[in-house]
This record gives sequence, structure tokens and C-alpha cells, in this order.
Amino acid sequence: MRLHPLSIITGIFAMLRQFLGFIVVAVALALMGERERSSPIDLLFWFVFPVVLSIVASGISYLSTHFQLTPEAAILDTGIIWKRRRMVPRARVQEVHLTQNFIQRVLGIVEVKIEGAGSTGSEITLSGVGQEDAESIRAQLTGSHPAFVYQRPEPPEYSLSVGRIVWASLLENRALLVVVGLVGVMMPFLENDRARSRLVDLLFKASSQIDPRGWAFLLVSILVVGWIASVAMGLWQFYGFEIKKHPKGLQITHGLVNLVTRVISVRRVQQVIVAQGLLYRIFRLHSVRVKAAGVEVSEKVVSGQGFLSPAATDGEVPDLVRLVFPEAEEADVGEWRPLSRLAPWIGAVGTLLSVAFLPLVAWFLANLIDAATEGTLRSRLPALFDERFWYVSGGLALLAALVSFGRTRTIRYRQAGGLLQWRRGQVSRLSLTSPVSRLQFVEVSQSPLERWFRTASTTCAFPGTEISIEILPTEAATELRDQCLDVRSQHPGRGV
Amino acid sequence: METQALPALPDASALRPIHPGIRKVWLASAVVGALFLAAVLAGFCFLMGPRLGLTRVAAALIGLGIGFLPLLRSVLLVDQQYKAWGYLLTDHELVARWGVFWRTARYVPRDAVQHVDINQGPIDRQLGLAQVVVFTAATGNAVVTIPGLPHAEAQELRNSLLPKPEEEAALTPPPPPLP
Repeated sequence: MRLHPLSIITGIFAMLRQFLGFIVVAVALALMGERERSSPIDLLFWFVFPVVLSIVASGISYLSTHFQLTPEAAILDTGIIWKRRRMVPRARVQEVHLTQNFIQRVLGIVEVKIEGAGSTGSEITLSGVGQEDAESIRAQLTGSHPAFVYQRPEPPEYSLSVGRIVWASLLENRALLVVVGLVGVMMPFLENDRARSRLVDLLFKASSQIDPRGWAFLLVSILVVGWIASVAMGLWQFYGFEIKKHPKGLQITHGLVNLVTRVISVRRVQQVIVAQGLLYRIFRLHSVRVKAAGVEVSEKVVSGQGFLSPAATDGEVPDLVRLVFPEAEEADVGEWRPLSRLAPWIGAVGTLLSVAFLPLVAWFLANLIDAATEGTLRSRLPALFDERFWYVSGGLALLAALVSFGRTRTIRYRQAGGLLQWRRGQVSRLSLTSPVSRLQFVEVSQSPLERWFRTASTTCAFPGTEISIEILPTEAATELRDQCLDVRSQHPGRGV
Repeated sequence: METQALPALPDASALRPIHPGIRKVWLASAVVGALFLAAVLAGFCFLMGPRLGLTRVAAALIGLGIGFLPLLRSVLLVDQQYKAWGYLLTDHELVARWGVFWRTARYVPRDAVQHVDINQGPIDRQLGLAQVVVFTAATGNAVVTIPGLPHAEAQELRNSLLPKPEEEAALTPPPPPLP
């Protein structure tokens, strides 16, 4: 067996270390070059010679090294002119070391050291073999001792790479929003002197005197610092994120300095929440969380939410859901059903009324206080309740109604395979999944507006959480209620 | 609209009614609440009256009137509210329905019940009534509060809601044997 070809590269670095003195001289010559007028040939000798020598030597060493494991011994052959064979009998193998330095780790190769009994010279060092090969060598050599039966560690069910965590942290960063917001607020004042009112002048006196280049620098540095901070936070929290099977459920481990090991009892997971913000949507990532009535953190029962993955790709989400709810596959057959066709309108009208109600109350209270205090409020804040107030609050109410309309239009639900699922969203997405077998109660309710339009809402409550499906046609609401109660009656128990 | 049967929610007449005496309880507590609110409002208006350009007495009367408005609402709706209430214990669920304008029906699986309270206020005690409060693991709050049950009926409902010892054993799996 040959070594791994990439071991040539580590070989070059190892050789270069021998020539460290040469390279120091080369660097020194280059630095003093102008003053001493040293010839380029000197430089060539001191720098290129060791590099070329390392490459050639390392290549030769790769080509001439052969390793084999026979039933009796581990044998390493080296050398082209001076051939050497080193054997360590299997029965004498004391230890097998697998090590990786930084470069080897990047390249994905392992250094294997086989130590036989005896003093120096009784060891074999393989400077670089593939990860799989290294583990198989160790397994074969140590496995001969019954006490050291090699067991490959269980691979995690799910893990996050450092790259993904960094990438997700960059997306999670809100510094960009802050910068855009600041630019938006500042632009009119930077360009138009007359636009500055006294209040703005007072607030931004110092900042408006900075020149535009200073501003740009400030904004860019906010962005960069924000990104660095957010990546640092992301790595701090989620470095080495992995999910493993545990006798009591799932074990989730993450953290750089503070290592969090959380064991979730799968039977106690009440909800899986899959969320996708705008940026996550664009780059096809999802944040997956579980909600449990009791999340066990090192045997202590704490209620709350936990991450199943802070940044899962499209393909990983179904696998993650299936880890917690094995029945999810059957649920996929179910058809997503819409709400009542009137739901967006009813929702929008409801939002409009409730948002428009607030400025009316504010106006009424302000007038009352004004009357009671004989006009002190009005004299202090003359422009508080003029036309603009009504335009702005009316506009906000309309906007809220529009957002509510768009959101409600995208809501879908389904009940299949023992799971109740709810999802919404076109721009940012959210989906909730709960097991009907752990249902605590069902509620059907009707507001006066809903009654008028022959719609109703069904809420299913689970331990510590609930899924509320609002504004369904009455038949669909009762059907959902009956289905859920039916599934629940097939699973007796507290569900906790 | 009021008389129309609602397909989404069970009709209250199909369920067991609560005791009619509950109307007295609701009215009495509404009166107490209204007296308190009216006193506060009247006092406030009495003090602020001159600033609003009214005499103190007129302002206090207006405050009193506003304070009694919720009582008027209770008096007008107490019969409707009573008729809207109903509950039923079926084989699998406890069903409760209430609400005049905002109507709600809740279905609690019997084995989801964690504990049951019986509460009695001072007026309840005078009339021999009790309130049954049913808790599940859903949230920290009560899931269903059935008011105005005769005390004996309340106790009977509680006893049938809570599992018998042998059912309890079936609900909770035994702990694993020690190694």
C-alpha cells in the first residue's frame, strides 16, 4: 500500500522546516537587497534550492514508500538506493497513534505511528494516509488483542460544518439593516440644509458636520464589525453542532467555549417549528427548532425551545423532522388545505379596525387631558394631532391590513399521519408541526364577524404550545375538530 | 342571527345546562364591580369637573352613569349568557360551550385531565353552588371553568373526570426495573 498522495505536500512542509535556516537567510537577503546589492543568484540559491530539493525529496519518498500488513507483521519499505525494511510483529504492537497537525487536517489525511515493544527504531511512521485507511490499520492492529476490540464511533445523525455556521451567521447579521436605516435617515439631512428642523439639528449636530467620506467609512466599519461580531457569536454558540442518538432520545451538542449537551426526549417534543426569513429564503436555509414541555438539560427538566438546526438546507429539513416525528413520512401524503376564501378579508378588516382604534383612543385621551389641563398639552405639542397624524395612522392601519391580507392568504393546514401541520408565508416562511396523539384540548370558536360569514376557528392545544387555525369554513372547522379528537382517542394517555 | 342554529358549535340545548341560580351570582358580582367602578369614576369626575367646564355635581353624576354601564350590559345579557352555557361529559371528552357574541366550545380528552379544582365564592356558598375548574398540561392556565353547578353535581363531575386508581396505572407506564 502506498501512502496518500497528499502526503507529498505535508512532506514538503516537513522538509522545508529542515531548511529553515536557508529561508531565513533568503528573507534577510531580500530585505537588505537594495543596500547590499546582493545578486539575484544568491537569492535563488538560498530560497529556490531548498524548495526544489524538498519537492524532489518528498516525491521520491512518496514513490519509494510501501506499507503492508501481513498476518504476522506490519512492514514498511523505504529507499531507492539504500533500501530499508522495518517490521513490527503484530504481537509486539504496543500502540497505534493517529495524529493530525493543522495542514494534515486541512488535507484530510492522518499520520499513523505504529509502536512496537522496544526502544527507538522499533516504530513505523506513515506520514500520511487517508482517514478511512488509518482507522482500518488501527482496527486491524489493535483488534488482534481481545481487550482492544475496535469500535467505530457512531456517526452523528446530523452535524453542521463550520462553513455553514459562518455563512448562516453572516445572513443572520442585522448590521446591514442598521446601515441601510441610518443612510435612509441621514440622506435628506446630508443633502438638504433646509430640511433640518431644530430637533434634528440638536440630535445630529455633530454627525452632520462629518464629511461624506467619513460617513461612508463609519457605515462600512459598522457593517464589518457587525459581521465579525455576528460570526463570532454564531461560532461561539453553534461550533461543532451535532445531533446523536441517545438511549433517552436525541443528544444535541454545540458550543465553542461553553459546550452545551442537551438530551431531548423525542416523546416529549410537542412542536417542530421551521422558520425561514427573507435572506434564509434566498439562500435556501431554514432554522429548525423544537418546542417541548420539558427539555432535559443534563437531567434537569427545563421547559423551552431548542434548536434542531440553526441552518438546515432544503434537503435536510424533512430528515430533521423525521428524527423527532418518525410518522412524518405518512403525513407527507396528506393534502394541504386552505382556509376559508373570506379569511384574508376578515383578517384584514379585523387588523384595520384594531390598528385604527389605537390612534382614536390616543386622540380622545389627549383631548381629555388637554381639556383637563386647560390646553397645556396642545401648547407644548402643537403639531401632534393635525392632519398629518390622521394620514400617518390611517396609512399604518392600511399597511397592517395589507400585510395581514397577504399573510393570511398563504396559510395552509393539514392533518395526516397523526400530525397536525400549519404553514404560512410567501416572503418569509413559518411552519408548525405537532403530534395529535398528545392533544390536550380542542377549541372551536366563532366571533360575531366569523358567524356572519359562516366561518369558525379551531385551536388545538398541546402541552406548552398550540396550533390555531383561524377562519375556516364551519364544515372544515368541525371536520378538523372531529378528526383530531378521533386520532387522540386512539392514543390514550396524558401525552406529556 | 341570534336564533339561527350554528353548525360549527354544538347547540347549548344539546348539552347539560348549568344551574339557573348562577344568574344571581353573576348579577351580584356585576353589582359589586359596578359600585366600585362608579365610585372611582364619580370621585375622579368630581375633582376634575370644573376644569372640563362642568359643575362638580353634574360631573360626578356623569361619572356614576359611566360606571354603571357595564352593569347595564350584564343585566341585559345575563339570560343569554346563562342559555349559552352548557357542558357534557361523553365517553372520551368533556365538552363545554359558552359565549353570547364570541362563542367557544372546548373538547377536553378525559385522559388529558391533570387536576380538577372546585371553587366556591361567598355568593356561591349562599346558593349552594360551586365552580369546577379543569386543568390539563396544555398551559399554566385552567382549560375549562364551569360555573354554577350544585355542589353535589360538581363533586360528581370531578370524581368522574379523575381516573380511578386502576386507570391511573394504565395511563402512567411503570418505571423501568433497577439494574
